[in-house]
Amino acid sequence: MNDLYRETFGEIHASEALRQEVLSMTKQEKAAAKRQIPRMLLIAAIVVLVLAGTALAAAAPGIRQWFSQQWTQETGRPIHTDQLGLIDQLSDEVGVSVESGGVTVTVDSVTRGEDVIWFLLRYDGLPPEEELEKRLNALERPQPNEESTRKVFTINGTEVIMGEAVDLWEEELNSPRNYRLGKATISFAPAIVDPDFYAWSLEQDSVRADGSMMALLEYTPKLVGEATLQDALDVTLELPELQWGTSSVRQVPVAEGPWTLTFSLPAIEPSESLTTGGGAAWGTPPHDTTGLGYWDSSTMGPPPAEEMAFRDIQVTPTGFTVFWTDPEQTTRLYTSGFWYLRMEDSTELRADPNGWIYCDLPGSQRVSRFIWPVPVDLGQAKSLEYRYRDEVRTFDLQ
Amino acid sequence: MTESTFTAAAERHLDMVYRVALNWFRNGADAEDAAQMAMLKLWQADADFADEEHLRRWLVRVTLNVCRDMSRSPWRRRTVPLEELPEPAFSDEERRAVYREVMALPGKYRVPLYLYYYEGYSVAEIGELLRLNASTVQTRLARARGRLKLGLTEG
Repeated sequence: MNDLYRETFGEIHASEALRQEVLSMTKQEKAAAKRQIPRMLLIAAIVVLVLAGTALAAAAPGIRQWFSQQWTQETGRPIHTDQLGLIDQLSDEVGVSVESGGVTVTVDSVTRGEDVIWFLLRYDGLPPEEELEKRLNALERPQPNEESTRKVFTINGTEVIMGEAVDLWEEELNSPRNYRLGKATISFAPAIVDPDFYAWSLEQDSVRADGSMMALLEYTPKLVGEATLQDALDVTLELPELQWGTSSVRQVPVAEGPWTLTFSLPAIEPSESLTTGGGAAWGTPPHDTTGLGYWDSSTMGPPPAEEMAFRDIQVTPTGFTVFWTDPEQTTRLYTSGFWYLRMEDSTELRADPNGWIYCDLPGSQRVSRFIWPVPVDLGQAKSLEYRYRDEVRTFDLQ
Repeated sequence: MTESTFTAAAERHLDMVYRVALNWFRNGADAEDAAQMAMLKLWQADADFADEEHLRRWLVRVTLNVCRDMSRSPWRRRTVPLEELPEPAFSDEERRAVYREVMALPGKYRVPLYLYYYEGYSVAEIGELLRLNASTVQTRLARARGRLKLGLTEG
C-alpha cells in the first residue's frame, strides 16, 4: 500500500501561478527580489508595526514563560522545544484590557484544550504590599460566635485545623498573603458549557517592582453537546472585586471591579489523543462522619479499597478521561492514587490529583477527567502510570 | 546561484517544496506562501551545493523552517475546517480518499510520513530535518501508520 501513498502525493503539483511567480524571481536583481515578500507575511509585518508597543505585541512570550517554569517545577527538567511548540499551537494572544479603580486587568493570552481553558492575566497598578500589610494589620479580630466549629484532626501525621474562618484568626496571622480573586464568571457564545458545573483555580506570580502581577486562571467546565473549547468562541470573562490577605476573614479590598473583558477566539486544530485500553484503578469510600472526606490514617488504619475497572483512558495534550465500566461504583467511591504521564526520556508529569471530576457523557457513560498542570506534546509520551501506595500499574499509550 | 541553475532547481524541486508545505499546513494558500518564501531564499542564497541531494535536503530544511516561522505568527489563522479546504484534483476516488485520510492526521504525523514514504528519507535523516530524536520520529511514524486504514508498511 506504500505505492498508493506515493501515487496519491505524486498527483499533487504546485499551481502554474506559483510556478510562474517563482520563475519570475530571476527577472529582477537579487536585491529587488528580496522585496517579493509573500502578501500574507507583508500584512503581518505591517500589523506588527502598527501594534508595536501595545500589550498585544509585548505579551507574546508570557504563556511560554509561565508554562516553562511550571514544567520545570513539575518535572525537574527544562522544557523541550517540542513542548513549547505545542503550547504555541494551543495558545492565542488576546491583549484586551479593562481598568477599574486604578487597576488594569489584561487578558494576555488564552490556552485551550478540548475541555480546559487557561487565561493568562496581567494586573497593573497594584498598590505596594507594604501598604496592603498595614491595612491588613489594622483589621480588628472578629468575635467568635457561639457555634464555633473549630476542630483539630490528625491526617497522616499532620495536624489539620478545621472551622469557620473566624475560628482560624490566630492560625492565619503568619500565613502567606496573596491576592484573592473571588469567583470569576466566564461565559461563551455559542453556549457550549453547563454554567453550573465547573472547576477553576488561580495561580499567581509575585508582584513585580513595577506593580504588575501575572496570574493564570484555569477553568474546567462541563461541556454540553459535541462542541469543545477549541472551537471558535466569543468569550466574556468577568472578574470580581480583588482582595488581598489570607482568608475571607483576614483580607482587605484592593480594587472594587468588576473587570469585564470580552474577546473572540478562532478555532484551533483539535488536539490529538492516545488511548490505553482497559484496566483498573483503586477506589476508596469517602469518610463523611467528620465532614473531612478523608480517612485519618493515624487512628483508623488504611481505608478499604476496591478495584474500579475502566474500559479505556483517552489521553490528550491537556489531560485525560477515564471511562469507567461500572457507573454504580462511581456513586460511592473516590478514585485514589496518582496518575503520571511518562515520556520517552523518562520525564514524568503528574496529573493534578485534585483536578478530577466525575461527569456523565451522552449514553450514560460515567467518566473522570484529569488535567495536566502544563499542556504536553504527546509525540514523546510513552505510557500512563497509575500509582497507589507501593503499587505501580503501567498502561502503554497507543 | 545563476539564473539557469535556479530555474533548473525550481523546475525539479518546486513540487516537493509545495508538498512538504502542504503536509505541514493542509491549506493550499499557506503552502503556496511558504513554497514561494522557500524558493526566494534559494534565489537569494549564496550557497554552493555539492550535488543534487545536497540541494534537495537544503530545500526541505528551509521549507520546514519557513513553515515553522509562519505557524508561530499570531496573524496567521491557523485552522480551516478540513471539509472546507479545497483539495487537489485526483485521477480517482481511491487517491482522493487516501489524501483525505492523511490530511485528517495531526500535522506532526503528516510531515514525517511524507518525508519517509515519498521522499525516501530515513528515520535518522527525518529526525535531523525536524530537529527530533530518531525515536520520536519512529514513534510518530508508527502512530501515523496505526491511524491510517491505508495499511502502510515499514520501509
